Amino acid sequence: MKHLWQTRLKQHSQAQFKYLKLVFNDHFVLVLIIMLGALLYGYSQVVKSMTAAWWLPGALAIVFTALLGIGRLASLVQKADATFLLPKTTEFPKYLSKARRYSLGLPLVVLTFATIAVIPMLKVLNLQVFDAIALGVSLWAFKDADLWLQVLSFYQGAPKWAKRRYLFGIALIALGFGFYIHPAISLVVSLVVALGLRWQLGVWLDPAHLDGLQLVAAEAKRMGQIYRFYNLFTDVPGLQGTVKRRKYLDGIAKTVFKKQKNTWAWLLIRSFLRRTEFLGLYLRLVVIGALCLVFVQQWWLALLLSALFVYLIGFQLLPMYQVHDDIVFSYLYPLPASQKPQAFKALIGKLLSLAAVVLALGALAGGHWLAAIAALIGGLVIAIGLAVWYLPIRLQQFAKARS
Amino acid sequence: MLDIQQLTGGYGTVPVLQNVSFTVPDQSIVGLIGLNGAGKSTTIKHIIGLLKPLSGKILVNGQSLDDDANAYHQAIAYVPETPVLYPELTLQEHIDLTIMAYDLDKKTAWAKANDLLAKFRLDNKLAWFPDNFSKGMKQKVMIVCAFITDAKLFIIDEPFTGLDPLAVHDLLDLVQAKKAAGASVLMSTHILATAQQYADEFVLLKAGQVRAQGDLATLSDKFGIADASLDDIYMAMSEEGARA
Repeated sequence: MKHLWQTRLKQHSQAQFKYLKLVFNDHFVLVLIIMLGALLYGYSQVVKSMTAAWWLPGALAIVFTALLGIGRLASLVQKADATFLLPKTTEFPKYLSKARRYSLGLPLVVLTFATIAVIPMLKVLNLQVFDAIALGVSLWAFKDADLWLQVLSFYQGAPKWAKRRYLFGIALIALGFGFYIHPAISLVVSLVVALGLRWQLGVWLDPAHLDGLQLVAAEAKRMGQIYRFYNLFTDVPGLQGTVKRRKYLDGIAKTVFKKQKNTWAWLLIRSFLRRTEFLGLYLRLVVIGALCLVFVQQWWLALLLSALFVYLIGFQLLPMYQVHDDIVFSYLYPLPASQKPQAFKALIGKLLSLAAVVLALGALAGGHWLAAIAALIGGLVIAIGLAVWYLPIRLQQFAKARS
Repeated sequence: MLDIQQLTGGYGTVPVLQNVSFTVPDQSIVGLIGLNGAGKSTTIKHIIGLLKPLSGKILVNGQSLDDDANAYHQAIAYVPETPVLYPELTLQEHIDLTIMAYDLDKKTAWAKANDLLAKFRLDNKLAWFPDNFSKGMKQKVMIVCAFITDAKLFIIDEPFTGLDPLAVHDLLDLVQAKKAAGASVLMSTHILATAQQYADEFVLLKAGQVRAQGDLATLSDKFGIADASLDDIYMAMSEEGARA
């Protein structure tokens, strides 16, 4: 089991490293450094002008409780484990406890940095460095308890009160008292919770009650989220989204009539509406873009922003062309080879033009006529340019890569 | 109906199939028999056009894929060994899609579909996503989609595992009805007793080559076993390899 964990960890680290290298490419790192610098400067300005308002301790308690939520149990189990590791059920808790210890690493670093970052604010509240240490230790203890609860959630015999949300409730109250009255309170509460939980733990971690299937499902979901994030920057092979029925969108789907020449258009619009990886992203980017444009007054900035958002959306929709590649029937239907690329170009063209219109409406809502017109033009130029000029080139690359 | 001439092919440049030639005559059911890895699925992938032959010819209804891809595909219906479905489509939409893609007459196709759905007890699941069905039920969806088409050649890859005995029976009825209506069927399977009972001819594949083709009597002669069952012949063929 120890060996298995080490192999898994090694494989996992290698895979993550490979993707992180792609995510943090030169441009992105440059942007991040500039943003971080701007953020720190802004923060220092805010702290300078800060007074000990009545709501500040409460707000800090809420922020730190939210930070406690970061960090899930990385069990690194794979689908086949539910079958192949069945004979090893009794030894599995050892594996899980290694996984738990590993999962603790990243959250503890984040919590420590957050504690250090908040020291200037604690000064405003008349708290000293020693109090910050007490705060940090109590955050560590709460996170430790949280990860035990996450492990426990995969055991069927666990008591009903062993839920993460109760822990966060206790943490919020304890941190609140800690900030308003004295940090020692949150320190004591967190240590009691964490040590008490560890003391009682052995009773519930009965190997016979481990729900392997649920563990596998949770890990698959967690890795899926990570890979979807990577997928924003690079192509992650084998990444599969899920499907939601979304019956309320059938009205839109039915705008494509059932005719042989519409076969691909009919299928693709359903892929867009029902596959979780496309519609959500499209809506989010359109809404964020429109909100940004509400505050933009300069026409040239509106033009650039709108073009940028349409471009981003267009790129995120590209993988939709390949989602049916593994389905053999996509190649067997007696349809002209040109039908799929044409249907895809038409759909992308429509979606991006619609996005451009919504972005322009955002600028209009801000009351900036000129910016709205500029946003519309910028968005439409990119929408049509992508659909008419860029897509044919890219789709040919897709086809080549496949054959 | 299907005529394979000197087919050599496989994945990439490594040939799995060597000079494979056999025919599926009009209005006949042919069983494609062989051990795991003998090349059954590879042969099928070549026939449906997923793989391109390194050399040789495949004619369906006298036409090759290069002559007229649409006519070629129109003539073939395929039921894969592992069911594959569009996760974003409901059962009803899978049938709609098939009707659209093959340009079938909506009324007659849906009449056939409703018949088949009732037979396979899927008629109350039209609004569901079949991608979440069990393997056997998915396979039934594949069968429904294949058998509502007007294909001339049905290619069925190992249809009997995963289906319940009742469905196996219904499928064999369907196959025979299609044969009676003028179509041909190529069926790969390991269930020899069923193959022996229902197929008119057999193609025995071994290590990427055709070892023998013919009806049971012809095969008995070739292997020199009197009154052999398909099982006897199969065992004889696999032992040849052990000796060589």
